[in-house]
Amino acid sequence: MAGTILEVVLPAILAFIVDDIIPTENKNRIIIWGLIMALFSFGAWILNVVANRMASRTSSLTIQNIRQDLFERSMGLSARQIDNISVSSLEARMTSDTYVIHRFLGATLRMGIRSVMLFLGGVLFCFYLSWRLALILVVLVVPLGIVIRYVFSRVIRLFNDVQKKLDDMVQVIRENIRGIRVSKALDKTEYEKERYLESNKAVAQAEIKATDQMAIMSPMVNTILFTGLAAVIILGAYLSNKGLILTGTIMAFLSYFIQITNSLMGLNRMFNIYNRAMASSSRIEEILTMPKDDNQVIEEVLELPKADKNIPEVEFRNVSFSYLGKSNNISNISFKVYPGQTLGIMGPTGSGKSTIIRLLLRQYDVSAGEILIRGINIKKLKRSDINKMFGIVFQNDFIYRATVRENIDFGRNLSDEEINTATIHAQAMEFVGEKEGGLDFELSSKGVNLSGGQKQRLLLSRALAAKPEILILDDSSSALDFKTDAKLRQAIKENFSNTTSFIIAQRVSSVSHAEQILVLESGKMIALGSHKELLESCEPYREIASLQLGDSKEDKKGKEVAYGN
Amino acid sequence: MVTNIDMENKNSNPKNYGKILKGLLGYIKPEWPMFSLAFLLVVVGNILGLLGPRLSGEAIDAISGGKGNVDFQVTISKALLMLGAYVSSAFLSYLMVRLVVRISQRVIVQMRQDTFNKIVELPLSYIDSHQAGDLVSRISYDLDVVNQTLTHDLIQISASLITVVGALIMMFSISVELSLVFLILVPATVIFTVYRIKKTRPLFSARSKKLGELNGYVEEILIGQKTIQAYEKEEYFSEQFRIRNEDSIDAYYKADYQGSFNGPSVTLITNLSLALVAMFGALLFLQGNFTIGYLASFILYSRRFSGPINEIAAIFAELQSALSAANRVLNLLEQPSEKLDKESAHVLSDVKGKVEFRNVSFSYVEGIPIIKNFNLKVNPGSLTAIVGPTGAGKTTIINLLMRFYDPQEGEILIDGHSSLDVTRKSLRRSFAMVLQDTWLFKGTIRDNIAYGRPEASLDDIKRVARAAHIDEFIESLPEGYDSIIDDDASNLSQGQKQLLTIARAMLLDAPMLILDEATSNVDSRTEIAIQDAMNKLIEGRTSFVIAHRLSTIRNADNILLIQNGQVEEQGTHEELLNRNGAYAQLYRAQFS
Repeated sequence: MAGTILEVVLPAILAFIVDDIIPTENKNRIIIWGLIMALFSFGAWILNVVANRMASRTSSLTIQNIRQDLFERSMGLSARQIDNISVSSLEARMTSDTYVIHRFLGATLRMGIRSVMLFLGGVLFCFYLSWRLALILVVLVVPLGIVIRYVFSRVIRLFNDVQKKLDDMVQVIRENIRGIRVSKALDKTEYEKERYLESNKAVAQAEIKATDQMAIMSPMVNTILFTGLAAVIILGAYLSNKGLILTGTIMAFLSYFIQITNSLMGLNRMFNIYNRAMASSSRIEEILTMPKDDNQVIEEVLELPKADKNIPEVEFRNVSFSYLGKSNNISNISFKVYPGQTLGIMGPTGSGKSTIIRLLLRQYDVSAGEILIRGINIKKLKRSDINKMFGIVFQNDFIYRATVRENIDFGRNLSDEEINTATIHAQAMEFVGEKEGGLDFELSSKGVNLSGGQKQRLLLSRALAAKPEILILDDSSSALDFKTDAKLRQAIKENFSNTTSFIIAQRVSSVSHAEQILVLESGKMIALGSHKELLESCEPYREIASLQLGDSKEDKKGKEVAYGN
Repeated sequence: MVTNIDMENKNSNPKNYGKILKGLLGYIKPEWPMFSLAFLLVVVGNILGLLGPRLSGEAIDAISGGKGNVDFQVTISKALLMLGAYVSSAFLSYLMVRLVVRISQRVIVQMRQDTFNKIVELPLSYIDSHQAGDLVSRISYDLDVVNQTLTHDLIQISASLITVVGALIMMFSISVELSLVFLILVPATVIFTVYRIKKTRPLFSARSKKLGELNGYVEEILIGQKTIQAYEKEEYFSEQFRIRNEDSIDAYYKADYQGSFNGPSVTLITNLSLALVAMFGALLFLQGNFTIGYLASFILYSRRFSGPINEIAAIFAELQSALSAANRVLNLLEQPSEKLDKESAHVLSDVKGKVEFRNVSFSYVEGIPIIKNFNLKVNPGSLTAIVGPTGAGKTTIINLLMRFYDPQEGEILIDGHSSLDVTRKSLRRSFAMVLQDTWLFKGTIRDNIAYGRPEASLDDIKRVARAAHIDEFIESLPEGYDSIIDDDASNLSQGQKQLLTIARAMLLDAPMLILDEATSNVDSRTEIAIQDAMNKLIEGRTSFVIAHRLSTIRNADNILLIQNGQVEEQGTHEELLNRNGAYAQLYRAQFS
């Protein structure tokens, strides 16, 4: 800022040389004042560099904090909130939106403040030179204000639209990267290019619309300002004719007026970025200010008691739930699981198996009924109390780019021994040992350098390493061969006998050992009982079992069973 | 599969600016008529703008008579002329902006499209070894940065240059000596600028790269958010994020820190010039070969210098980040696409379905073979089941069959033709494929099912949906077949997604079939229910089925037990059981 002041003074010194020193014909004084100008220039240089650095430091730190906050808030969003926003939109907010704001902040702090200083300096000098002429400036403020307001009100909406179109476009890219095998196999590459072209062009259209609207600003502001300039000359002529003002003053006035105009143009350019930045910042704000979701509120915190073999570890009482608030995805589910017991859950796809787990973890709140852990409604339990009890493997669970060890440890600072033991129990040691570096083998994003079965065993290691009180396996051994699957069950039986388990599976053999098996169909329970009981009483279960476990009748079915899985 | 992520980053600091610029100019070239027009608008607009000071000067001359002697007529007409000049200049620049945004959008649409086209044409080895977030960031904002500079800044620079040149001409016409004095510092400016650019370029490259990495990380972690919450590790990952965030900000700041010199330095040089001019001008005036009026206009014009030059300096900083961004995009565009079909390649038609693997060896990463010297003969219409422990290379066989990857040694023959001798397109179209990793896109259910055969009638679509036992579900939706599957298909269960992809494969009616754990997410009851349809799908087609449930594959014509990249055992279910080897062991384990 001080640098800018030094710069604003420079023309004044110049005017001083021309008006006051030259007439004295003193060469030494001319040289001295020339050197003073040079000195001021150097001063301005140093101060400006420092100011720039401070500006970029400030903006960088600000963005770092915004991004960090945004990330942390995103980590804390409820499942439903994430569903609504969508991961790709969230990602865009964290990356491109913060980037836009970063550029804006940098530019504002550097150029914006400078422009404002030049503007204010110009205005001050104008008033100092001639208050009569300066009144013209005052008159100009009104139409300027109107124009700026008008353009702004329209432009912000348009820039929001640009961002939305960008989101859509990014989604197409993302889909294509994920589905590349399918589109190549079906020779849809050309079609996908077309599809992308559409969203690509939509972005361009939105961008053109916004820019067109924004572009109106400049000629309108210019016209107003230069009308002012013409008015200054004409009024100046009038005043001069009356002897109220000197020609030199008019010249100086004009010089500062031009400076004001230039600084306003500079600001105008800033507003271009400003609009984008505003659109971006409101998208960021939406996330940051998103309130805690209902399911993240704990009514009245109760202590979690120790496990008691007479009290169900987990109980569902007439639980119903709907993702969209319309028809129920599960309805009227009731069961009790005592400590150390295993509940197997089977049922057709979409019958609500995973939903039960999501509810148990309170990722969503039940629509009706209640879920109790050790006799206490989970709405009254601290989230950390709930989470600490569980070891979970979701369907197609999360593996990230880091070592095998880090993926198992998952930030819990487990000892080598704990990790090794978990890896052995999860039957993962064998393949981990074969990898280069063993536990330090680098996994790539989503674990694409592991096979399906290896991924599942890695995830199992992660879940088991916590020595959970409740173990949840959601279809997490489907890619294991039978031998490994059997070994896994054996290991769990031997080493986690006190652990209460929930096992969602497609294979009867994965749940047949469970004390209870819950059979679901379209969100309703059609049976609950042990393998033996169900074989007798539940027709659908018997069908599956006989098919999978094979009995003599099967050969008749011939080729029917002769495909995948 | 993960290796060479850093391969291309290695040459992200190219010495050859020229190459990048050439690549970029290629995109602007087709737009040159429009560009010239924009340029013309800029030139005319700036000349009109340059007339301004002159006209205002003349108006002031008319005023300078002083009290009672002001020539109002001249003053007013000159003032209005000046207003006219400025306003038309502003209007021209308005037209220019509208024109430029159209050019720039055309250019960027083209660049984005080329980048996207490249992504979908890349060999799978590239896609498999890169984070999607990184690829996305190249299209979304690397290109945005490039475009901003390429079009907007380019015009801005030309406008500034014209102003500078125009002002120079005016200055020379006033006083040659003084102009030379003013220009004494120009070489210093040039040397300084070149030095700065050299110094800052790698910093801007690093900045783009770090940002790409950060984006990759964000994407990766967000997908796992629910799991992270369940393990209550939000803080841990926030800390991990903090490190990367800091890295990226650091790179950004470093580039900015160096860049922060540029603007003020240019201002310094123009200001110093101004001081020189003031001194020498005053001295010249004292020697008597100069008037005060001339000095005044000279200074007015020289003041027009600093603005544009500052702008150029500011744009230079942008230009550098644009070039690094462009480099990342161009690097991607330079990646070889999937190898073109041989020129002699013919269309595979009327496929009978005889498949043979001959001495095939393959590895994803050099030195770590996945499949070694693999041989297999498959008769038309037969069912081959591939079993074996996970990681044994079952999916690799599919990758090779579909030519997602090509073997390093040996060949694969379809109906006696080497798969390298037929077009990829016809080869792939002769397979229907259902993978474990279901893929649906945002669009209607109908479009998703008909993806491989968009011309299929609604009746056909309904037929396969019924066969895949997903019709009831679809019809229960309010919009039926026109229901939109949203982002990540989160409104469908895994199994429902899989049934849709099965329906999609059914609709294809291809002579050969690949099922890679196709029903792993479908529950057994649904599996039973769709067996009929699956049987029809398999019947008469050469089918490759990867599975681990032995009960479902025991009727295959040929069972391959793959272990350690080798076919360990091969034969029918009975034969293998009688052999009492690895397969028999595996089979018995099922009942343990």
